[in-house]
Amino acid sequence: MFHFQFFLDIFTPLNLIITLAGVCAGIVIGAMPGLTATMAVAVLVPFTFAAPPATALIALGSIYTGAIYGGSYAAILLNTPGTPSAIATTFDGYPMAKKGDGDLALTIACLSSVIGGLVGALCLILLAPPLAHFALSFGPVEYFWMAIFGLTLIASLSDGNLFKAAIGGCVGLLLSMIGLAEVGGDVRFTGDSSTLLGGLDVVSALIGLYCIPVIIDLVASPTSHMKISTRVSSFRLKEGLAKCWVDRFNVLRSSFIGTGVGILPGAGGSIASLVAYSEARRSSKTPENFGKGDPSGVIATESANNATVGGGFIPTLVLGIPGTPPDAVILGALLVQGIRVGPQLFTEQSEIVFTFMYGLILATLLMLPVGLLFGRYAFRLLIATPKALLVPIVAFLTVLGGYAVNNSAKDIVIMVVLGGIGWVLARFGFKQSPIVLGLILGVIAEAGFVQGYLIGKARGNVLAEFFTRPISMVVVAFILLTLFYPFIRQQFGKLKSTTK
Amino acid sequence: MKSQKNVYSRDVYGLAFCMFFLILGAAIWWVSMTYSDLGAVFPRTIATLLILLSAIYIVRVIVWPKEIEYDFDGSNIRRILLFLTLVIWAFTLEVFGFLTTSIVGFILILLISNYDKWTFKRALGLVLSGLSVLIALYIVFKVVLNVPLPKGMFL
Amino acid sequence: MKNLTTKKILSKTKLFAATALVGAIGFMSPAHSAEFPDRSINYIIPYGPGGESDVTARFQEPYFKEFTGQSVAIQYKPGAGGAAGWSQLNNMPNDGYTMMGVNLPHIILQPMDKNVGYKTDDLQNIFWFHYTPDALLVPASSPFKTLDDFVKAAKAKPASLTVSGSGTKSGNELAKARFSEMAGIEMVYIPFKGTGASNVALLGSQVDGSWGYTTGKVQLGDQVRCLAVAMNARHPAIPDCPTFIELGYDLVGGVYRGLAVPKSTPPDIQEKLVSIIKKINSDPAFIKKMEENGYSLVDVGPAEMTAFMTGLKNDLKKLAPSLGIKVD
Repeated sequence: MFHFQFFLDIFTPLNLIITLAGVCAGIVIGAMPGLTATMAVAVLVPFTFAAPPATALIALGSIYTGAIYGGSYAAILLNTPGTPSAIATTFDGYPMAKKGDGDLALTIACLSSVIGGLVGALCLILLAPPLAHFALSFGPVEYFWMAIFGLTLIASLSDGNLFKAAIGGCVGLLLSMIGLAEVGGDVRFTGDSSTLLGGLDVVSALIGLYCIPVIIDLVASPTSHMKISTRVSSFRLKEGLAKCWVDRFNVLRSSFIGTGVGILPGAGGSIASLVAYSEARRSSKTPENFGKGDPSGVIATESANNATVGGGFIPTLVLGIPGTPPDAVILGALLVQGIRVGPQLFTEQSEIVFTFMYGLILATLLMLPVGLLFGRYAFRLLIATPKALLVPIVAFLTVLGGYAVNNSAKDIVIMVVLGGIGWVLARFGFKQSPIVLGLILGVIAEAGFVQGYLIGKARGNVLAEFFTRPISMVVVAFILLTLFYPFIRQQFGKLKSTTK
Repeated sequence: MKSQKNVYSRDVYGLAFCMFFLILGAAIWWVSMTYSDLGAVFPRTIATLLILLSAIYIVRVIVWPKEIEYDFDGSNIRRILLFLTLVIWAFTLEVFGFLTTSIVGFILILLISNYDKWTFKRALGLVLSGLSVLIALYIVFKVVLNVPLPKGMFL
Repeated sequence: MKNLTTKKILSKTKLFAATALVGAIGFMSPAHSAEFPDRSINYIIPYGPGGESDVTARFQEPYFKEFTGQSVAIQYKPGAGGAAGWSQLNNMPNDGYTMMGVNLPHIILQPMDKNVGYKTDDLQNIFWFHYTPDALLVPASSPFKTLDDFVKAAKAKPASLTVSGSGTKSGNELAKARFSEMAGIEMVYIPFKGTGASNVALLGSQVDGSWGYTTGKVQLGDQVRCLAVAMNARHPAIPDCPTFIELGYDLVGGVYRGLAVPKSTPPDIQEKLVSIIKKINSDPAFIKKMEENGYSLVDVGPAEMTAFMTGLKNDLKKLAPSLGIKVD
């Protein structure tokens, strides 16, 4: 039933080499700040046209999954996400590096990414059609509440100043409104210039708000920004495995959250890792360690974001609707190859799709040795590079990456300006993460709100539209839970201590 | 390095920023008057939220002040120089060409980031290895991947 | 901790320097004025990858190579529904090696509506090679089996039927406006960010119907039902879809896609580009591929351009107010 005969197809020499090459290329591109998974896939698509369809698909899938994992390198070592999906990895990954556990963080990131990727890929193989149809029950209202959920997560994740985090989120939301509104057609906050008509690009804003403050601070002192433990010889693999085993519920839960979020078209790795991180913190026995270098944080985010790779392919292949931005590119490439996606892909053209899905599993498995090796090499490279070389190279990468996103030099100006503003704000307590998350979620929240409102009005009852849909209510329950859980926990704690 | 950790009895800087955000919120309300009904909903909601949060924080700082510590560590001159280099780099990119401005920017930032003593060997090593990475990446992107990096006056 | 000794650095550098030198010589050589084209042409899509503009460009790519011996380098310059690219076209190199995808009605409606950084007449359009005909789609599980059912329901309860589409004041919304006027009904248009999102809403029955294209019907297959298409005759790829004309409504149209070059491109080079594109458009294999996917080919070259554009501009001037665009 699962066409196991195609499993063997992935082991042709061509496919093996392509998978390996794809994973390597993907990791390298994802690791560089400024270059994202979407870019990696888009830029390498033309090279796949010469290959047979299944091989082309495997290549793109390998690059994609490698890039999502690769984003963790810069997140852990430089406090700057290599791709948007690695934003949440900076929360605990970088503190770990500062404490001297950078190599452990990299190993854990690798292990988690592999497991998350496998879960996503298995869900794709075993459950694609039913999951895809579940994804369809998410309408504008559900997306709106999901975005609000994401925003409340910002507030709950602020270790310290709730107000400043919330204000940061508002700033991000306002930034997301710049430009021509997709729903409504108003031109907002552009100051009448046509430069900002397209709004702020998330990736260049990300690079601006994260990378630039990082290099501004790197130049400020001669000492290394990370603590380096003396034994750089081992991968700390045993330690990493032990941590993952102890935390196995977290790994699995985060992987499933990642798959689930990946299924929803329009939601990608950044949102998945955020939700997984928040849930991991909530279920942890030591939530106060999160944000200070708790490996569980890295486990949660990295397994979730790699699970979105497999998860995102579900609506892409079953419904023909891209689950995440790289999926849109891959869909285009498939069309050119003459592959028609849809439910029939699983029945008629099963050879291609099943070979691809097994190939994805292979790529994910290959990420383990390749990732560990690359991770260690990256770590040593970073340590060995003098700051005088590191800073200009990172600066160049941000300029290159910032340009390559949309082939626009204006994006770089915006990026640098945002970088300056981001540095100032961060210094005074307004951290970048709420701003970036506000920017990403603002688009989804507003679109969901306006669309839901219009649909509700047409149906005659706007309030019913927003408050009586079953899935929405589940999400709202989660929102309330996230907001009030700390208080509930406190109260139960008091209750426990008084009754004892 | 001298550690400049400043401890304040109240969060004066936070207060200043919140005043700014108050005004920003009001400005947004004012601008949103020109938008269509649907287009104005979100800006107004967020602006209101911004005003509320800022106002509450301002009150909190004044009435229930909490001690706060700000970290002004490090060489601010270098920071400013780096930022200025980036700004000039960004604005002249299309004028002078990607590679040219990148090389200039790269070398400038290299100078700004260097703390060790300058020896000829070291300088040569850093500049050459850095430039080779730069040029290699440039070629990969421009030639292999066909990304149209601006030519400008030079390259 | 310096593992990089100066020797190591210098030796690595020699290798890189050599490569760099070769590369630099390679592309600093002056452009020869030999047979056009003598190197790869930049084909800029003013949208992100994966959309109709991208896919059709990629369909054309192999034929470009076959007919000219040179390849096209497809690049993306997304932003503001295409305006980011179109506002910059005339600043790009005019040697004939840069061309950009253009879309109708976008390039007429956008500048009409607001300041987008370009005016319709700024763009030097050289060829329109296809259009995606408008189609009214409903989910397969919808109670509406025919266009008539839909219209009846809309008349029974005005402004109660919801239809999704991509973008605001776009091709999809225009189709909805035109049909609303013709049928005398009121539908509520729900804008989504892109055809993908619009299709999700359709498949999930979040909306009652969707203004999309024939390509959407081909892509989504049996998951959706096509109530009508805006063509003169039924599309060969979806022969079960009746045309609006058959059903009594004179609705023909869709989003046209074509190519434009910087205005100062020499006329003889423009002619050469036109002939290449025209040749591709008449290639039977290319035609087959386009039609299989739901596209409908047209051939509007320089000769027909003025009449075509003027006619469209006039039509759109009349329809613009129904989209909320003020015409002066």
